Amino acid sequence: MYAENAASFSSGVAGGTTGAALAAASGINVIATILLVVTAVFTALLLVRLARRGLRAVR
Amino acid sequence: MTETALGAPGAEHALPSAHVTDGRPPGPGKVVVVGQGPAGLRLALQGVRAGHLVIGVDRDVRRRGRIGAGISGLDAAVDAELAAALRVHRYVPTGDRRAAEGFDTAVIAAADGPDPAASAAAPMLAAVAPYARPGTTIIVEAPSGSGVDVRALATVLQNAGGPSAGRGVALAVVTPGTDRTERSVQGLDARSTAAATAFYRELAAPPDLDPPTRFPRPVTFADPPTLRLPLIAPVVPAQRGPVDADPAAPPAVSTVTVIVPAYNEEVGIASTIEGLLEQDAPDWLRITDVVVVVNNSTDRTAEIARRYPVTVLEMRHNRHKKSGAMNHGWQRHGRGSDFVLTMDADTVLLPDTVEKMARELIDNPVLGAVCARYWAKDGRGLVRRLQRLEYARYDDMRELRGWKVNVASGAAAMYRQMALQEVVELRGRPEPWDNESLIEDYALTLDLKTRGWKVGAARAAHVYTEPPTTFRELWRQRLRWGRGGMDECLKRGWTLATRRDILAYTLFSLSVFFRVLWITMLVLMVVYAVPLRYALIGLIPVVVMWAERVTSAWRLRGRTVGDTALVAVLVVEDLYGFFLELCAVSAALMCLRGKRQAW
Repeated sequence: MYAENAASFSSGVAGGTTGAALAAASGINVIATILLVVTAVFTALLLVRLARRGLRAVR
Repeated sequence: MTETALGAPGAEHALPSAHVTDGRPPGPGKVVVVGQGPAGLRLALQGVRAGHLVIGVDRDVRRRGRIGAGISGLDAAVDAELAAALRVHRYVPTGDRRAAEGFDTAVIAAADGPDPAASAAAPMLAAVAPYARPGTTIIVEAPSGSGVDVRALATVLQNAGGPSAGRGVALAVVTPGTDRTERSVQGLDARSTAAATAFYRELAAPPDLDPPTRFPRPVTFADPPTLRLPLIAPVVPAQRGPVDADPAAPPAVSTVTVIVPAYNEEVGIASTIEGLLEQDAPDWLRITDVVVVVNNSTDRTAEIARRYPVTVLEMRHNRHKKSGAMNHGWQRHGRGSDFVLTMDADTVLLPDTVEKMARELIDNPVLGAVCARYWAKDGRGLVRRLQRLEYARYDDMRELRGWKVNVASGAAAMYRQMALQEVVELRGRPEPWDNESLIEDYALTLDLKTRGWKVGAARAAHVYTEPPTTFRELWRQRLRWGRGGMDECLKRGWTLATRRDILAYTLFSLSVFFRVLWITMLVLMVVYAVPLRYALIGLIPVVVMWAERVTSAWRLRGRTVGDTALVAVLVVEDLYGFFLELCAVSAALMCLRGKRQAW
């Protein structure tokens, strides 16, 4: 790590999704909600990145 | 205290019959103008027109950068004059007040500042006061009603360590009139008034000189060393700057010194040097020297390097390793050029890399340094393949961030000489690279940012670099990077230079937390056979993540089906990510425990 890392969002999505699924399955709704929000935020960030990459390709 | 008015009717009789600077005839000299706002810049150009060598000192890095690029911010005519002055090196914008050394006349353009009062003029005067000597003239330009008093300034001059204003230094406050052609001069004594008056008269009626021949090139810092080598690139005169005001003037050629620190690099040093010798030679750029600093080597690195037309310096007991080697090379051979390129001895440049990096610095005057875009060299093995993907992903991210970088990577970075000099001034040590840092390139990047410079990637400059080939080597490298980066941030705290990096570290910590969470959850699910009730919904972010990962590696140079498959299956790169995060966590623990990390 040199203060640059491209994979943080992916980790957030992977951890958030799995954590949310397990928490929901176990009936721990507060944690499930928090993790779902985290997952949604990271997914949105990834979607923005994908969109910018797509725009770059067509320019 | 005497007072006179220049340009006003009847003023002529108040002027002395001869110039009063200790009997020296009026004529070209070294003029320092402190403050390069509109008034200061116009005055500086008037000085150039009169045949003086003019040093324009200004603390504002953006203003200096703009002026250095030939943009006055005033009008086209001034732009043209500025470009011509820069081209013949008669006007030097700088932030380093040491450039004032040896001045004949200094003008403090306090009227340009946001606070044109005594409080603004005093620190500007204090900046040049240490370089005042008997026979010099110091003029403070201040608007009428600003309350700037020449006696108070004399005290500032004395307190700043210069010789007494009454003992050989002429000191005057000049108040420009509304159209700047009329000036009121308030000298500390008759001699001061006369000296200031004579200076302005000289500017108004410049002598008939041949400026380019009188001062071939100003030297503002240490004298550049005599180069031992023939020019690597042929010099063909070229033009630079927005307007060519004087076609007869010699054009500017930017110069680059290349410093290559080499530790036991007998395998790669030849191709590195050959890559440098084959660089394109545009007419506006000249590589004046390639300096290979052979550092504590026990192999044939020096012997191989000497086969080429480059300067080879050997350091046998260099305890500061790479930073020590680069500092040594810079101090011996790198201080006279416009730009300094440093590169690893296992980095190979494309033929236009130096040109593209220099172009980026010339076109973006706020940049203090640029690094190249780097690709990992091709080769076999999973470690190399994973790093090639990682480097390609970095490259992709940099473009999405508008080519901003956290660090001007030492694999190949080009620095503006002025920026390096400012870092030397900032650090109060004679070398720009921090010998105490584990990652000297990151420390220098932060120093540059602290001085207000920006650091970016040169979008058109590419290099190939040799990555570690085993996981053991990779672990050592990343441990050093992690430890060095955290050390620097902890040492400097939350500043404008470090705040983005500290936020990046925070995000990284979050990433580590989620990866651990992910693995823990997977284990728990398997052990307790928890049903995945939300599996279908959960697939949506996973699909997005997958698409992002695959497209991020799309620009990998020479991408094969194997590379794409490696990315697409996710798990291999996830394990690699886990490895890197484990390494970062180890570095953080070492950092917190204060354990020493070897270079």
